Amino acid sequence: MQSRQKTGSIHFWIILILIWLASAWMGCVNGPGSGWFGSAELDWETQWSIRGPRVALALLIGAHLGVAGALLQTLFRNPLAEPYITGVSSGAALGATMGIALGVTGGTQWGWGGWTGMTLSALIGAGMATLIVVRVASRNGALESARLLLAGVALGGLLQAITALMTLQANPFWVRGALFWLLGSLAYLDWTAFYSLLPFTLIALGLSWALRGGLDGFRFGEIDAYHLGLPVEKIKWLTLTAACLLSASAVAVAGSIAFAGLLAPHMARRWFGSSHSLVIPASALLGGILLTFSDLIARMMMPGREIPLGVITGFTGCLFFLAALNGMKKNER
Amino acid sequence: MRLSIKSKPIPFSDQTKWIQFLNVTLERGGKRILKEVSFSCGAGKLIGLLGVNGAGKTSLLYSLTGWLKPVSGKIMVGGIDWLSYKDRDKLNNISFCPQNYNVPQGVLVKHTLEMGSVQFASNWLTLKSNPEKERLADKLSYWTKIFNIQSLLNENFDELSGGEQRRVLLARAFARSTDLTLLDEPLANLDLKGQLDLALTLRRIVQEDHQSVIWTLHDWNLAMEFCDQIIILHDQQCIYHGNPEGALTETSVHPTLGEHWKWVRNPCTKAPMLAYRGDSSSSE
Repeated sequence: MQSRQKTGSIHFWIILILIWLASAWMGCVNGPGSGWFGSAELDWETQWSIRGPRVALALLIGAHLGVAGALLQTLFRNPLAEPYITGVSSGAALGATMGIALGVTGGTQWGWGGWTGMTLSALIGAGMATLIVVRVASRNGALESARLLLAGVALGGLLQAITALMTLQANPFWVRGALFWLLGSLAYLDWTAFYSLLPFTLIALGLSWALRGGLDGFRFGEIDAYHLGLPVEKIKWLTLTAACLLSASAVAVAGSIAFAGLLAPHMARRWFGSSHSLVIPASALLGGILLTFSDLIARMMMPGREIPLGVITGFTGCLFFLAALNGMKKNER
Repeated sequence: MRLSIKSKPIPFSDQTKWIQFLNVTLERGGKRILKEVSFSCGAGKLIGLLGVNGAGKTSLLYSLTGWLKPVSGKIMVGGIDWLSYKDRDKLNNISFCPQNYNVPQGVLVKHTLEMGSVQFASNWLTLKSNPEKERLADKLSYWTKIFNIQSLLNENFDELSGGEQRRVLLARAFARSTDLTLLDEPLANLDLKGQLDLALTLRRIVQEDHQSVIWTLHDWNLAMEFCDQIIILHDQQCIYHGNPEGALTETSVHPTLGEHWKWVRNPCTKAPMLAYRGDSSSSE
């Protein structure tokens, strides 16, 4: 079994890095003469100013969602947990839209302060959604993983409906309509968004990395972790905080991208085993690369038009979700 | 020989009343599990906890580890008020082998075993490896031999059979070498040979290492044969505590197991045992 985790890893990384480079290189720019590798009429610098932040953000947001997925899957002992399915992303989206409606972003063309304001309001929304889901999913002081998914899906649906209603009602939302918040997109982003996201990335990934040992102790379940002498409550709430930080800051920038955090932790575990000192960095890298690739498809599938990113990740993610569910059925006794 | 740096060990004061439950009431999720239960048991003994499903055996074990806090009553261990101990001090002195556990994917058996030696004195964030690594390796190789899992060390835990998983978790619990070890239905998933082997192993561990072991089980005959003390729970009460010799009476067997049983002596070992007395009892 050790060998499975090592074979092919170098080839695999080379392929992934090539995919990422290709994704960064290829893509259309809306405008005259646009083709597969960009527009012939626009110079490279102009095109990079559009695509540069986009691929950088895809890497960062993919890492956020991948690590958030890894944390939630371990904490809830459910291979299908992920920020979107547990309702955390939807809470963040509602928080962010409420923030915009209340004016924390300071107008329509927000700068650095606007981004941070929106991220903080997304964080409040994500935190509230997490508290509700954890409350509903807890029984006798321990989390029940099956209830968690049901609670998360139900709460997510409710919060999305409210978000849609809010964005359809008023119009201080600039280009960020219901479609953006519900499906996510990386279009129209600039370097300001990247720099406003970066501190959250560093803090949240640092916190996740610090929790790797505690999460290793959670692999056999919460009760088992307690009896190994781990401070389960502390680890649980710090992990939820990290997952909220990761998903809320990602949603504030790119909307709630469905199922984007599901695949990366599974690939990471499959190739590197279940120790979190490997799973966390691997989920970050794989998540980033997968999202960059999904964004490439979003840009390229219909040249000259943007497909919301959530459509692409929802398509691949749902297929994987169903396959994983089928696999779980076989393991049940 | 202790691996962990003990913040507060259990003092050995009164050997015969090492663990004492005084009017302990337990509730779980708002439901009463045990009502004003009192009993005591000695140190260095193999103690069998019997009772039908849902009688509160697991909850009683949880109340010792601190996962479940009693609503009222007092628990004394080694003559000190156990409930006033911090959770991590309790768990420095108690190992627990769960009945139900999540089976994670892709965890090697040897890494599972190492999880048991988490150092409470060290930083929990990093689970710093044991400062006495060599001694830990000795310990682990000793217990892997006892539970016959040497050949499984490089396998994935989730690919083992139920019985093999059980043995790995038992080795993990005992490798922590605490004074008290609690085993929640360790015989579940084991075949008849495995059950007897495990009972013999536990007997030997208690005798040779002077550890105390409390285990829950459903096989009354194995319990009578191998345990030093028996505790029987029924209907929120402790209906018997003491040695196996006096355990099988009308008041303990009939309410818990029904009236189809007769208590006899094992013809080979002379230990008390239960025998099915046929279907004729309904006419009497």
